[in-house]
Formats: sequence, structure tokens, C-alpha cells
Amino acid sequence: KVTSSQDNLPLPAVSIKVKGTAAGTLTDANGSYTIQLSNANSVLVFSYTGFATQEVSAAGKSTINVQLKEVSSSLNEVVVIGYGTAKKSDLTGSVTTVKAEQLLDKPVPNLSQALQGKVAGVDVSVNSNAPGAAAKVRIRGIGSINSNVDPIYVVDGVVGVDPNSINPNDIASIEVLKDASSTAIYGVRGANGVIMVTTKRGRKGATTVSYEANVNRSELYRHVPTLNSKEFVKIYNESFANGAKFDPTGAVQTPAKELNHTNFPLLFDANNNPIYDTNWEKETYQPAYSQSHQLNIQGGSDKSIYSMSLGYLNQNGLTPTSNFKRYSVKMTMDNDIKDWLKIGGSLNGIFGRQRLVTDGNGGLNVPRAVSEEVPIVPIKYPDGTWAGNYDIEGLEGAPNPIQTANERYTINNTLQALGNIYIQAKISSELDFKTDFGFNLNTQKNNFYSSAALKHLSADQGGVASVNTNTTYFWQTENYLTWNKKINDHQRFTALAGISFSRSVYERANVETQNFISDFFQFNNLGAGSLRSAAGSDENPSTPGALYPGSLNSYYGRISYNIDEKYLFTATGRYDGSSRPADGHKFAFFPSVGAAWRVSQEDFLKNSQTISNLKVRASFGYTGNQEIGNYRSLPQFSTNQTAQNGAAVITLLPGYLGNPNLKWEKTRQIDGGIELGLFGGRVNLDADYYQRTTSDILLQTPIPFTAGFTNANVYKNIGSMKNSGVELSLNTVNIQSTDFTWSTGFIFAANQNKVTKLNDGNADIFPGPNFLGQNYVIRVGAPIGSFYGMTRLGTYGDNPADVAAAALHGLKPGDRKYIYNPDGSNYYSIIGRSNPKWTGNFNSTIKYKSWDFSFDIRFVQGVNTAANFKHSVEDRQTISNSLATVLNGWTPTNQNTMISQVRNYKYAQDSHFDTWWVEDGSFIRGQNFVLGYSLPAPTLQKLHVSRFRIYASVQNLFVITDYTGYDPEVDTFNNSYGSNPAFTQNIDFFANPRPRIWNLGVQVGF
Amino acid sequence: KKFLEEKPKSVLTPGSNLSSVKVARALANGAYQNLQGLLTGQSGSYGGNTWNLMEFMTGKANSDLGQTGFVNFQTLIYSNTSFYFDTWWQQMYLGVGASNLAIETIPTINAAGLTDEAKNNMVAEARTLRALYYFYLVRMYGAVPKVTSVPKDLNLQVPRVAAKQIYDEVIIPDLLAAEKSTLPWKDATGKVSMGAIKALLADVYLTYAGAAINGGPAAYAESAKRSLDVIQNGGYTLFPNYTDMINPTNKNNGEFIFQVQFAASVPITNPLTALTIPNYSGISAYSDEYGSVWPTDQFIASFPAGDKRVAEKQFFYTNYPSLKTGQTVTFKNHYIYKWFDVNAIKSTTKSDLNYTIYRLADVYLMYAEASNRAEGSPNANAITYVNAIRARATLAPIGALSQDAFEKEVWLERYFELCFENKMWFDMLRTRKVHNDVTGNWDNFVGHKTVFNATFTEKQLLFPLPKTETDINPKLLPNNPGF
Repeated sequence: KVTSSQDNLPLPAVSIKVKGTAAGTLTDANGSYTIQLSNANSVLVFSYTGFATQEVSAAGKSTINVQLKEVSSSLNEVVVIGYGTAKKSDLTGSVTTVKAEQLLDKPVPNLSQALQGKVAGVDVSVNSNAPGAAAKVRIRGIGSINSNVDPIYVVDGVVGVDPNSINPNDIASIEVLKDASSTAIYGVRGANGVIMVTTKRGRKGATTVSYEANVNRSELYRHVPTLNSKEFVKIYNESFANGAKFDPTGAVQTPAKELNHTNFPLLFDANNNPIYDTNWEKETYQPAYSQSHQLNIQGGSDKSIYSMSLGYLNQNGLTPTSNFKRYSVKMTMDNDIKDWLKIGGSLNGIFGRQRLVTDGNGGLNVPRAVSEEVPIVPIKYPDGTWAGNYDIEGLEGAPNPIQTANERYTINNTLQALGNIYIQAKISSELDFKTDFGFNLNTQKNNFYSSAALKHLSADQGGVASVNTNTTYFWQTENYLTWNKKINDHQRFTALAGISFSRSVYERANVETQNFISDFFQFNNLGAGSLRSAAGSDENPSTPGALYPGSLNSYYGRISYNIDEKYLFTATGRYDGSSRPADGHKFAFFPSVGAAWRVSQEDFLKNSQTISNLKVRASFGYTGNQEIGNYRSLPQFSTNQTAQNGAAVITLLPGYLGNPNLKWEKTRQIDGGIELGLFGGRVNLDADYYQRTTSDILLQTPIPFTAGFTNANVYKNIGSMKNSGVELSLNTVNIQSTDFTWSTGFIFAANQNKVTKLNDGNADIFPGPNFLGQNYVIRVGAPIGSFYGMTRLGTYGDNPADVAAAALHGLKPGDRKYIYNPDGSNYYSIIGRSNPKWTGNFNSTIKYKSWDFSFDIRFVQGVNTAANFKHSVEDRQTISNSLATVLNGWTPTNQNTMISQVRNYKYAQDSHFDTWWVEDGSFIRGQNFVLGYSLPAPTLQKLHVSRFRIYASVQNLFVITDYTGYDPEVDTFNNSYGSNPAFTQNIDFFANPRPRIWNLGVQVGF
Repeated sequence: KKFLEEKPKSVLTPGSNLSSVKVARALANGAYQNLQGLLTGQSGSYGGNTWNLMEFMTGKANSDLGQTGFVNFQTLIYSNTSFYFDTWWQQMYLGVGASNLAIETIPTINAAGLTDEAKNNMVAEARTLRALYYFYLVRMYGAVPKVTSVPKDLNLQVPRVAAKQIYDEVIIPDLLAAEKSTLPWKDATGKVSMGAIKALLADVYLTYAGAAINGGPAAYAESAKRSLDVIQNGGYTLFPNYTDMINPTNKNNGEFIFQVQFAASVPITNPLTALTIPNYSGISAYSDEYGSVWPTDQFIASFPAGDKRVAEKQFFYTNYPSLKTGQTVTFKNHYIYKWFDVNAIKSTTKSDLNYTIYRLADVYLMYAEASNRAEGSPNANAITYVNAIRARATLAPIGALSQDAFEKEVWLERYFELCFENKMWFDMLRTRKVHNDVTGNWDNFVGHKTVFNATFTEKQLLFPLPKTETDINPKLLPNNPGF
């Protein structure tokens, strides 16, 4: 029997060979094995990935129980790199591996969320808390502006897969390639880093079955207080009373109707007191329960291995009716057909169904209604009809959030088939050829319905239904030769040469119908509405359908050279051709070089008791970026429609300017790193310094409206910027004994971004969004993502100096006080940053006998979050509910305040994007705390199971922050409000709150 | 390499095969697209459409809403980031761009059944519309960039040129060229007709003669020549009743010379119907009843006694039955009845009414004003036309008046007849005179105090160029005086 020395658990599929012969066997699921020996004095060699190989003499023994020791240093670990694998110790680049068990320590719906806090230099922002939502992943800062800034994902060799659609439980490990030495092989798709995803495959030996399940409860744990009924009525009446002050010559200052019993008998009692006091936050964000089940089967024979998995996830959000379900199935097969020929493949089928109730940013959506719905209305009146702001004249009339959640929603259906087939042939002992055909077929069908009962949303349209389909057909073929050559005892090299073609065709069709005779049909019968494919809706402004093909054709190579296991050299190059740049700019070459010196292999360290590993490495190279959508270099007409003679006619318009000089964005990266292992691998330190310089940055640049194009943007190569930073990762095993181990991990990353050059004489660029002023500026010398706005000093007092100063701007005591330019115009400056100065993560794991406990705390520091929602709920009294902060508004007896005097909205002064909105967005979050218990081995044997663990965990136990919104890690604009969707991080205009999640799980292996 | 070639299948490019009659027509239709920009919604606003601005500026309009930015215009404290300036700018230049594309592409199209005459006429439509878009731009912003072709490269930072140059080099030549086309006098489908070309040319010359350009007496004569041509040869007739103008069956007919086209069935619908219903009055099926613009009491009071136009449910209304209860709702102010589409209000919420750019009454008054200036005194025709307008309003006819008295009478008729049709502000700028509703005097524009106690200054003569545009194109700076 073979067991692990660490936890005494049986090890299946350990290879046992008789030394010097070809004979051998594998252990079964219980770690047991039998082997017939022809020679009683044979020596058995036990080897298992991740464990030290052991040799045991069989002389005189009939039972040999072996405890294999885990290799605590990862030196012999094999990592996945572009077009192959390599021993970790052989690498010259910066590559970090994350294993499945680290990735899946908490229940998350997708890979991007799972990656948070795992790898130094990989910044993950979970911005949306809608069920199933993906997170934003940035490696080593933001290297581009408008081209994609996401890393490229390579799933089992298929390049460019959306990592968030696959079931994270199918992942065996991921590798994050960060520096040019490792990413340049991906050429034009490598500039933002590469994430290699390896999914679970079969293994030789007896079949193993594992089952994992968890159930969890999400609950609201932070609050954004708004006015209760009493406070609302008070502020409402004060606001109208103050109207006369701010507009003495204006019309009637009184509300459309006084809030009293006579006008609103359903809302006020006979004493004119509000009947209801609805806390919309509490009514809307109710605890939600979710569950997930995963079944995995792995097995195989000597020649052929297979795996199968089934997954089910049902995630419910805090927002009522929001939900995400995913069903996935995956199979893999790998066959050794001949000694020299191997074929295999995988097929992954995924169906996801997301019910989203928070469409659009800025609309009267659910999160906004939670803050804006007035407390004096109930959810429903006693007769069962919905209540809402629209019941009160003069209020901005959003339906209440619960009604909207029930009657306005999108069902996002994702259907995906992803997989590949490969043939691998050993041409000689040194030469391997592999050809791989990969495909990814992805259909998204988004069904939307908004009821005819929803005033101000879809009542006037008589109900709105739309169905949008987006289909991507992707195929690729990769063909490459690998030459592993040992020149002599001191020198060996691996050379790789390959060619690839890939093509992606994207198609979409959007149809919309309005004016239904009944809400019954929803989106299920678009023929039941009288108005088909309405023109000019927000969802599909002018193009109900489109087709975009894009192609890549590439040639690549790599040479890795190893001298004495001490001196390592790698050179890679990729010659990439893409359909996207303009003619004449389609091909470009992306080379890189890397070198490493394994100091610990030198004689003077070889026998050191302290230093078990020391490697220094450096790399330099180029990668590119082209992710800007198709046809961006070509001038285009656009079509729309207008009315003529009582009917619609098609119009042809200047659509897009095009840019005949559009070319690749190029990133040059320098990286220096050190890897240090101490005390037999008990302490591991990785440190990297890098500089990424991006030139010819692609920006969707706003162009003057005078140009006359309906798309007032054009893609241009506009300048350069630099990201530089350090990454540290320190893992220590503090205590290691039979019963008790304690390990900790700390990662730290600091990235500094600076725009170094902009075309057109370094003039500032305002990329949008423009929400009551430009929210961002791109300025030479400043980091990308710099907030730009006015500076609020407070409010004007009623002393003579303030009165005079206010009057210069047409303002009065109680109005907001800003900094102005000397000529009296508005003064704008950089007032914050949306990217953190540094991020860190601290985790610790304690194991005691059968118990394990771990926690994970994340630090994000030196960053701002813009609470744009304050405009809507702090500056607009009398048309909606307000934040409780307006109770601290200016009054003659409360002059030292940042919040202006309340007044009726008609006389509200201009709101500006300013320093009062741009808050400190730093935070420390208790990401995850887990307590687990595993049944000990003897019990397991009795039960005939190989593994049984139950655990309880809590996510988001706490967040320490000064931010006043629900969560400082936020982005509500990613539905591309404004001209440039890249610039929306850390802008909060009513977000879904982040839940705290209590979780119970079980893991069983057979 | 073929594999990497981009051959768009879902968008037309200049290299695509465009040889078809329908493509030519679609290009010509493109020039009409942004006429809807005269009424388009302001982003970030609620109940604020481009149309609002021109009424807010006059000081004769009020609003039920705060989110229209009304207060900024009521107090005249507005800036280059205030509402509407960006949208007007954007919409008018999009119109220019679409017209440019049509003007330069249509002549290159060769297709069976596409005659040179048809091409010339389509180009004439587009040139008329380009002139119209520029006419709005120069009156609002003064000096503006002159763009007369679709840009082919990234050199987009075009400087401003004087308004006079835009008139001399674009607006007037475009219209004179269009005048030479064989377009019919009237077009029942709503396209540009000879009547529209000449009415616009009459307006352009009248404005050119006015205070902003001071184009001289010859311009008045040119103006009068065009308006008389429309009146005598266009075949247009005044509607007997004001409410004929809010009957959708009369679209593009009778008195109407040129209109922005809307259709309930499309639905590209007239936003003014909902926009002018009193806020939350409950008289309609619309969930948004905006009360976005309504006349001040002082303006209503300035109409002469017995003027039918201020009688109930002519140009204005003060009560209407509640849709729910049927009981009469009486409003606290007068509200505008000029876009009251009964079907939309009672059930469909989709207004079928067009929005008028030129109608015969306007041309009558343009002729009266221009001929009076050109000839030194009102001629018989001029007096007849003014009296036709007065007669419909059940006002007594005027007799012989001095040049000055006649001009004031014409101006005042324009205020009353064309109120809330986005004409009054341009009249104020053109004449540099403002009728004081309280005193009854004609104040000088600069120094006029509105009923909101705000005073017009030089700063009001031109709108600021929007900051979003000057940020992208600093060559537009300095901005207009006061900004």
C-alpha cells in the first residue's frame, strides 16, 4: 500500500516499476498494489507526480508499504506553458501556478472570481454581484486603453475561450504567464498576460469517483441608509419651503400636492401621519440560498485514460428573482494507439441561464429604486395593486424595486460547445509532432421582457420584449514540432516550431416587439405585439443584426537551452498576421529572450542546509494587442430609418470614419525575478520587478461632431504608457509535524502606471464617461484611470464674505462651494485614481489531525471609488427619496457641512462630478474563512470511501473601508455608458450590494 | 493574404457596389435623419428636448420640471456644459454630415432607371437640408466650422469661420442651386419641395439682412421675392381653424410647407405631445406627462383682447377631463395645445403629428416684414397677408401704417402666431428687439429684463460651443463671449 507521508491518505495511480526492467504496475484507488517479481531481490521504484521518487528493495518482503514524501519545493513540478510543458525549474520567465484546491476554496460561479487574491500581480475586481457575473482580471496593471485589457485564456490549448462560461470545478490547474519570455509565444494576444487553464483528465488505474456539494446563504451585510417616512416628509416640506430662497421670482414653490390625508388617503392617516414606513433595502435584499453539485469520474487503463464530469450550479442573488443556473458536462479521452502515436480530445458542453434584473446603468433599475423609492409608499396596497413613486405627483416615478424585479428582466441563455481533438506523433526519440484542432461554439440568447404595467419603463410602449442572439463560431488549428535534444551531459535544448490558423465569426440578431395585448406572452411570442422591431430603441439603436469575421495566421518558435542545469536560456518569436489592422499593417513580429541562473546548483550552494533553491532570471520581449473589434480600419456607412409619408424609410449615413493607419499596439516588457527556497522548501519567496511599456496605444478616440459621423469615435494609435511594479509572493510552512501543520502565504503587488506620450501635442484626452462632467482624464504624467472633476470645499455660509463670493457664481448661502479658476470658470483637476497603488493578500492554513482551518484576507489600498449615486440621492430632494446624509444638509445653524441646503428639485443647482463623490476606495476584506473536518483513514476504510471532508465557510465576513456605498470594489457602468467602456472601474451608480455568504460543503471520494 | 482580408458583409463601405436607385434614395433620406434633432431628447435630462432650449431662452416659457435645466435658462446662468448646447451642436452637424454624404455620393451613382434629373433633385433636397442645418448652427453659435464634404482622414480639428462666410459660401449657394431643381412646389410625402426651398431662402435672406450679419437692404428684397413666390405660386392655403393643424390627416397639406415627419405606426413619434401635457395631470394615457414647457401668464396676457389664439383649446388649454375619472382637471397655468394629438393622449401614447418648420402663416409674415423693409413701406399685399392672419384670430384688420409701426405689428403677429414653434428666439436675435409683455414696449435685446428678473446681455447673443466639443477640438477656442 502506498500512502502520503503528509496526511496518510492512500495515493492512487502511483507508478511502481521494477528497477532495470519494463515491468510495473499502478496502485488502485485505495493505494494498494500487487506485483509479481521474477527476482526476489528486485528494487521497486515508486514514483508519483508531486512526490519524491522512492526506491525500496523487495528482498525478503511480501508486503511493502511505502510512504511517499511530497516534494515541498515545486522544483520538479511540471507547468503548462505555451505549446507545451516545462519543469518549473527550467523556466526563465515569470509563471505562477494555481492548483484546483487553492482555486476552489470558496463557492464561486466562475474562474475569474476564483482567481481573486491568488496570484501576485493579478488584480481581480468582482464588480457585479449579480448571480453568475464575471470579474475583471488585470495582469500587471492596465496596458492598454481601448483594446482589450483582459488577459487571453487558453483552455486545454484552445486560445481565446471565455473562461467564465466553463465550470470552475472542471479545472485541474491554471498557470498565469506574466512576463514577455512566457507570453511572447502568444504574440499579438499576449500583451495582457496569458492564463493557461488545464482541465481535469483521466488517470491510469482504478476508477475514482468524487462528489462535491455545497449549499450557501447570501445575506446583506452593509447598509446605505436612506430617509425613513418621518424624515422624508420633513425634508420634503423643508425643501419646498426653501425653494423661495433659491428662486424668489419663480413660479409656485409648493409641491404639486401636499403630503397629507386629503390628497393621499391611502398613504396618510387622518392625522396626516404616514401610514407606511417601508425600508426598501430590507424589503428588497432578502437572504438567498444557493447550491452546487459536482460529480467527477476519472479512470483508465494502461493505454487509454478518460474522465467525465457533471456539474450543476444554482445561484440566487440578494436582488429578488435574480438567479444563475449552470449545467455542464465534460468528457476527455487520451489514447496511446501505438508507441509513437497518441490521439485524444475533449468535449465540453455548458448551458447557463442567468436571470438578470438590473439592466442598464442610470436607468430606473432595481438597485436605484432601492435608494430612490420613497418610504411612505408600501410594496402593495391592501387591494393587492403595486405602489410606487408614481403615486405621488411630482416624484420621479420609478416603480418600486420589487415590482420591477418581478416584471422586468433578462434571461441570458448561454449554450457552449468547447473542445479539441489532437494527434501526437513521436517521429523519433527526440522529435514530436502535434496537431490540434480546437473549436468553441458559443451562443448567447438574451430574452428581455418589461411589463406593460411598469410606468415610466415600458407602460407607454405597451410592454417591450426583445430577443438578442449572439453567436460566435471559432476554430483554430495549431501544428507544431518539438525537438528535445540532449547534446551531451552538460547541454540540452528544446526547440519548437509551429504554424497556426484561426478564424472567428461573430453573428448577432436583435429583434424587438412592443405593444402587447397582454403580459402573458413575455418574449415567447414576439408576434403577439403590434409593433415589430421598433426603431431607435436603446437596446438596438440602428443595427438589428450583423456579422463580423476575424482571422489570425501565425508562425511561432521557441528554443530553450540548458547548460548544466545551471544556466538557462529561452528565445521565442511569433510572426502574427491579423485581419484587424489596416492593410499594410497586418503582420508583425514579436520576439522575446529570457535567461536564468540557478545559483543553488552551483557547487558553493549545492549542499547548503539553508538555501534549497535560488534562481535569478531576467527576460525581455515584445507582445501585441489587437482586440478592437473588426472593420475598425475601414470607413463605413451606417443605416437607420426615418419617417416619410407615414412610413419608415431606410437612411444611409456616414457611419464610421475608419483609420487607414490603424496598427498593432505593441508592449515591451522587461522582467527581473528571483526565486528563493529556504530550509528544504519550507520558505519560498518569489519576487519580480517589471516594466511594461505600451506604445501605439489603441484608443477609441472621440472625434469632433463636426465630422458628421454617427459613430463619433475612431480607433487610433494615440501614444504610450508605462506600467512598472513589483510582485512578491512568500509562502512559509511555519510548523510541520505529524498532527499539526501551519502554513501562511502572503502576496503583494504594487503597480505604477504612467501615460508617457499622447499624440496631438500631448493634449489631454477625455475618454468618458461624461456623467455631470468628464469623469476621467488621460494626461501625460498621470496614471491611466485618473478621476477628473471639481473640488468641493463645503458650502457657502451666510457671512458677508461668503455671500459675496457665492453671488459671483449665482449662488447663495447653503449652496456648494467649489474651487474656481481666477476668471470664475469651473476648475477641474485630477481628483483621484481608479487603480490601486498596491494590493495584497494574506492567507493562512492550519491543520490539526482531521481538522483544517484557513482564512484569506485581501488588501486593496491607495484607490478611489466615485459614488456617482450621490448626485441622484443627495442633490435631488422632492423627486425621490434621499440618503440619510441630507439630514446633515446646510441650515443657518449647521453651516459647516459638505452637503447643500435642501430645496425642491426644480431649483437644485448644478451637480458636478467632484471630490465629495470621489471617496477613498481602499479596503481590507475578510475574503474567506474555512473550517473543515476530514474523516480519518481507518473510518474511511470501514466506509469504503477514499475521502470524506465536510466544511463550513464564510465569504466577505468583513470589509474595512471608509467608502459610503455598498462596496468600494464596483463598476456599474460596464454596460458601456459614455463613449468608452474601458473607463468605468470604481464608478458606482447604484450597484447590487455584495453579499456575505455562509457556506456548508461536502467532498467525497470513492 | 486572402485569409486576412476584411470583406464586410453587414456594413456598406465606400468601396461597396452602390449602383441602385434605392441606395441613392436612402442617401437622400439620410439628409432628413437629423431633422428629428430639432426635438431630440437631451441626455441626462428628464423632459428636456432640444426644442425646450429655444423656448426657455425667450423668458416667456416656464417648466413644471427641474430636470430640464430650466432654472439655468430662467436665471440665464448657464455655461458650456449646460444642457442642450451639446445636443443641438451634435444633431445639426450629424445632419450636415449626412447631407454631405448624399451630395457627394448621389452624383456618382449610375443605375438603371436613375435619371440625371432625379439625381439632381435628390442632391437639391440634400443641399436644402444642409443649408437648413447650417442655418440653425450660425444663428445659435455664430462662427462655426465649415464642413462640406465627408472627412476622409483624421485631420478633424477644423477651425471656425465667420457666420457670414457660412451664409455666403454654403447656405445661400446651396439654396440657390436647389432653387434651380425641378422639384415640385408641394410634396405630400414630406420631402423637400420648391415651396420648402423658397420659404427657407426667404428666411435665410431675412436673417442675413438682420442684426447678426447686417447683409443690407438687397437681402430684404431677395427674401420678399422668395416668400411672394411661395404665396403666389405654391398653392398653399391657410387652414380655417387652428385645430386643423393638430389633425394628423392634414400632415404635409394645406398650410404646411415643410415639416419634420413623424408617424405613429413606425413609431417615430412626435415627443412634444407628451412633453407639453401638464405634469401629472392624469389626462392622458402617457405615464410621463411632463409639463416641460408652458407659457408665462404675462405672455398669455400680452395677446390682444378677443384673440382667438388664446381662447380655450386653440393654441392653449387650461382644463381637460381626467382619463381615469372623466372629471375635468383644471390646470394652474395655460399649457400648449399645439401638439395635442387626441388619439395619442387618449389611448395610443404614440403621437402621429408632424412638427412644422415652415407654414404659410410664417411666410406671409416674412413677406410682410421683408417687403416693408425693401420698399420702405408696407405694400397692399403685405397688409393683406397680415390681415389674413389677424382675421383667423378674429382680430380687426389693420389699415395703413408707417413702416415702423407696420414692422412692429408684424413682429408681434409672429410672437402670437408662431409662439412655441421655436421661432421667437431667432426673431429676438435677428431684430435685437424683445417685446416686453408687461410694458407692451419693444425693448432693446441687450438690457431686456425677463419676467424672471434676468437681464439679457451680449452673452445671450450666441450660445457657447459645448465643452465636449472644444475638449476634442481646441481650435474652436476661444469660445463665444462670456464663456
